[in-house]
Amino acid sequence: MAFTKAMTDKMSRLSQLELTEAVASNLKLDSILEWVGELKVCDTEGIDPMFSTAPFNMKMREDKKISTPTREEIFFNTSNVDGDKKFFSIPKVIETK
Amino acid sequence: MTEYKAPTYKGKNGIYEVVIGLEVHCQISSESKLFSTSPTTFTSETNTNVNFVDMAMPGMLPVLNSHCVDMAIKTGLGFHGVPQEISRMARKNYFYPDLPQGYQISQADEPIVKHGHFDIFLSEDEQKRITIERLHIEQDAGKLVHDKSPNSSYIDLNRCGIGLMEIVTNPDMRSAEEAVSFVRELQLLLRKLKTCDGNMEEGSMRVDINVSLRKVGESTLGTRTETKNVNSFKFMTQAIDYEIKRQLKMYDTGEEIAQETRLFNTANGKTKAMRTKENADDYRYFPDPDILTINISSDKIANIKKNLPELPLDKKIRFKKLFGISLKEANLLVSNEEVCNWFEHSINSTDKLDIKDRAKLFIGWLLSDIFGWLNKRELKLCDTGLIPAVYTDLMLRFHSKDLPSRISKTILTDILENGGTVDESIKRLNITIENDDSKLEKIIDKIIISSPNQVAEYKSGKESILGWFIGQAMKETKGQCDPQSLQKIFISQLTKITNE
Amino acid sequence: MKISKLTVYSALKLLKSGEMTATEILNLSLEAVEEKKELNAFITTTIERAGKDAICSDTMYKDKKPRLLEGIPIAHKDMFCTKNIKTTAGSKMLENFVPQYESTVSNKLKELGTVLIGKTNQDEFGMGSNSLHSFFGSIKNPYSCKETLSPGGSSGGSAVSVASGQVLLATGTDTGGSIRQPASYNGIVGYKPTYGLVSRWGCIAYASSLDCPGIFGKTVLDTAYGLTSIAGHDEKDGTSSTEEAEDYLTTLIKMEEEQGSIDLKGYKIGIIKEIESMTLSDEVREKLSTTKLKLEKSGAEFIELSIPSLKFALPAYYTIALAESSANLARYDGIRYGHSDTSGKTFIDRMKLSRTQGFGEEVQRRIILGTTVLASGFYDAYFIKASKVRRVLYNEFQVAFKKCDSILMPTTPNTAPVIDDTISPLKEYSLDLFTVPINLIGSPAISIPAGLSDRGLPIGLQLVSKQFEDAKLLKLAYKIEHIIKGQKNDGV
Repeated sequence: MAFTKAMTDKMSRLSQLELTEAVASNLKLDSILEWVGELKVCDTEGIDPMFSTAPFNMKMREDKKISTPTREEIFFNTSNVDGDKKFFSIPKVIETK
Repeated sequence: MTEYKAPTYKGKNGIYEVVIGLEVHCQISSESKLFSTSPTTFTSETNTNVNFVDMAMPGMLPVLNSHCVDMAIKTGLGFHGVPQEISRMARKNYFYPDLPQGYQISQADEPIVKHGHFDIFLSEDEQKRITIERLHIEQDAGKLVHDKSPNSSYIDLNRCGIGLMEIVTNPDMRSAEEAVSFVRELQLLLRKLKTCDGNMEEGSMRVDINVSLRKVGESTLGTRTETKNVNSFKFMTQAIDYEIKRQLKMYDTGEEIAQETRLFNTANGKTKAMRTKENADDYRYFPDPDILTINISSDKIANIKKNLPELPLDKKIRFKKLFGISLKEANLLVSNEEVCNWFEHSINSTDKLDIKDRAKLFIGWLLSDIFGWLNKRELKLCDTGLIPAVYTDLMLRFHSKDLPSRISKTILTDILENGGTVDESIKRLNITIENDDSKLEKIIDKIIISSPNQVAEYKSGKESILGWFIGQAMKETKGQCDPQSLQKIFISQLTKITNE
Repeated sequence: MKISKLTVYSALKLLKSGEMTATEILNLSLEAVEEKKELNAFITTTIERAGKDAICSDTMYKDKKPRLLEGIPIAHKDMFCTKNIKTTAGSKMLENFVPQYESTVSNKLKELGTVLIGKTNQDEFGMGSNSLHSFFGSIKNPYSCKETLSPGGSSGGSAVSVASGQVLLATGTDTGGSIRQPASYNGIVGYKPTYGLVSRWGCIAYASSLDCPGIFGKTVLDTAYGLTSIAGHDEKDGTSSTEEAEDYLTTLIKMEEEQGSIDLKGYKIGIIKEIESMTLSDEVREKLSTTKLKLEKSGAEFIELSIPSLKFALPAYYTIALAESSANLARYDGIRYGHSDTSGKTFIDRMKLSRTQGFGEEVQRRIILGTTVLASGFYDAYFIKASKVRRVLYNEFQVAFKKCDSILMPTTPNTAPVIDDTISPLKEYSLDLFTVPINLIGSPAISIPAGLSDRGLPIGLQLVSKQFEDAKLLKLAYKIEHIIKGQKNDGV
């Protein structure tokens, strides 16, 4: 399976990475995709996919609220905050949803 | 009674019908969020109901809230769906500033409830079944605020991570009216089950509407558009009507309808194609590896089912049948759980009168006088002092003419304001009830004797003069007697004189 | 006294008897850190806090109420979030990230009296097998002579910090071998617990269904100290096991104290026949067979097993790990934390720039590939297929575990490779040939030193057991360790 330019474009768009063609070719995506493609010769007829090895049932949480961190802690690692320190702030987004 | 007929639309090339399917997003009523322990309160200061899980800090993990799972199952059972013993959370991948994880935890091909149906009333006696494809649970996103700064958008993550149930119907609806009925009926159900507060204006219920047109008689579906996040019944109707008009015009002009997501503009009632999210054309759903399979035992499902209350739709049908009331009255009663319980309490606290007559009597005053009084003051029934048994007493005494209408209403108002029993109210209002017939007869005789001219008029056949006599008696008794009783006695006394 | 001569066990003895204070041990540790700086094992050192902690430990000993690991100098892989201590995951993306919370693993170790020396260098986000992919520079294997040898990865810094005698115990994370492989290259013990036994909460994610926090130590006994400290259910991790953690330590301490003769009578050890025909260097092949002979002499019975799908483990692993990581790394958008480039005009521009600048090449490669195997048109053929292969492999191993107590296999196909420019991604991925199958099946595994190659480089062998048989595995590993008498040393 060749990693076409269209694929590179789509995948970098989906993953929000700015990937130039030169960088993409250096990533050797072709060979890796081809290599993982070898899986197809493994016989998995009638086998369900396995998404976790956990042999136990998941323990769910009780519906209890716990007090939240302070805004100071919430905003500790960013400067993308409005002047009043009440919101995260980003360049104006034209609403698309 | 008019029979319901779904509307059709005449285009240049034929007659069309509209096909509507809904995706209703309902915020699950819970203390804490779907995967985190943050509170879900609506009116909190921005970014204070946020913890490190909600803001997707490195190393944070989601832990599923079992209550939210129970609420989803309960809701599913409420629309006759099939809760799944095995279901799974999946990641829906896309980037957006209100989605800190870069993916929404939702469900893909293994939702928690499959199938189901729900009846809506088309007219007094016609019902229509709307089938439901699935209910799945997922996280709500945060909010973007655009109006606080000219160059920036602000992010508030308070809502981020609150549990949502998304209920997806099949394209079974054929008019805006049906779609609104469905959502109204669903809202009632959710409120009855207490699984969602159903407040559309606060955004706890939001509707995505899929609309397409097809020629009447055709069975294949036309190309549909999806109008997102509509949050009132009025807007639903506007959005659907607009889409019908728009699509019809496109069919007429031969333009191709794009399968697209549209946004409803509340200001002008129009829908507008949304700029597609740059990265939203491939969501790459896959099972969330942080959350194991959701296993629900059949015992648990059976237990939730056993404890379901009477569903609003069943209640409406029962009320209509049992009380002989109209759909409108049934809707009014059932749409307010508090009133409904109060009413049932009251009507069941006596077995006097035929049930239908009793219901007619009790509902009449409830829907007009009591509702009117409450609405004027923006109060709820529970804010007043009127308890069901007292209302029953008042109604029965009114019905047996122990209390005349006007006095009964005065007493009702007084009890709504001050509480207590009927007798306490009578005392409080210092009312003397002139309902002793012999006493009344004396008063009436006095009036008759002192009004020979009017008696003569009556004798000559002018029956309308009765009103004058009654008015005199009312004046005499300061209005504290029942005009109907007065009329009865006047007629009998006057007849005696006439025959003499 | 050099800290390299100490183990956790011996250090605790000295501390309890009062022969040494925690402060003295800390000073030895800090001397070594200074001396071995060129290995680049640490991204951050926490010397000031360590001094205070050691003083606190000394008080605890004075008051005769020491906790399990009171005064033991340790290091954490920089994947574990530590409150108010910079945590980078080896990435420019998190160059200045200071968590306001403490991971469950680091918190448990803190509560048990350990003295944190610092946060260790690693491949960015755990993605690598040679510790070359760190924003903070590569790490040097202490066995390097003329040529620089790979310390292994991704937990290279933790392995090196223990192997070179800077700390007595270190945490790591093992997604596809990131603890066992560097342990093998550095001649120490590396323990990857059963998936779900140790909480992942607060540990920066690479691939959620595979990530296992674990322990590096000089001896099996030391890693048992570590495992005992960090195992157990955590309600903040929905994939953490609800079963009670076992006692991993008492039996081993008893054996250590008794110093009795050790044999393997009654033990059945499995050998996978497919490994014979796989890429394996002669020196590792030979070490495996000589070890087998030694163990047989001690009474172990060897059972030949077949895992026909073993060869598919590597591509299945990379498919699943990359898919999960592509989503796990989506949260790094530059808004709430992490590298934030504000030169872009729009939010999308800023996010793209932040991500492209913040992530290194290997991470970007894996994100792109992970995105691809989940994309429509690829999902079934790649991700679902790999997940099916995973079950096939799991089933084959479960059959095998019925026939033996534990499986003995090489940890790596070779000894530590020389670092040069010829390491291609695929070549690097192939270093995980024998470690990734174990992550796919969720089993516990331990790499123990089996001695040195002719060139004087450490060779590790791994023992693999059934899920949640960690206690049994550690006991067997302890015995084998003593039978092999694998060279214990302080590096170069």
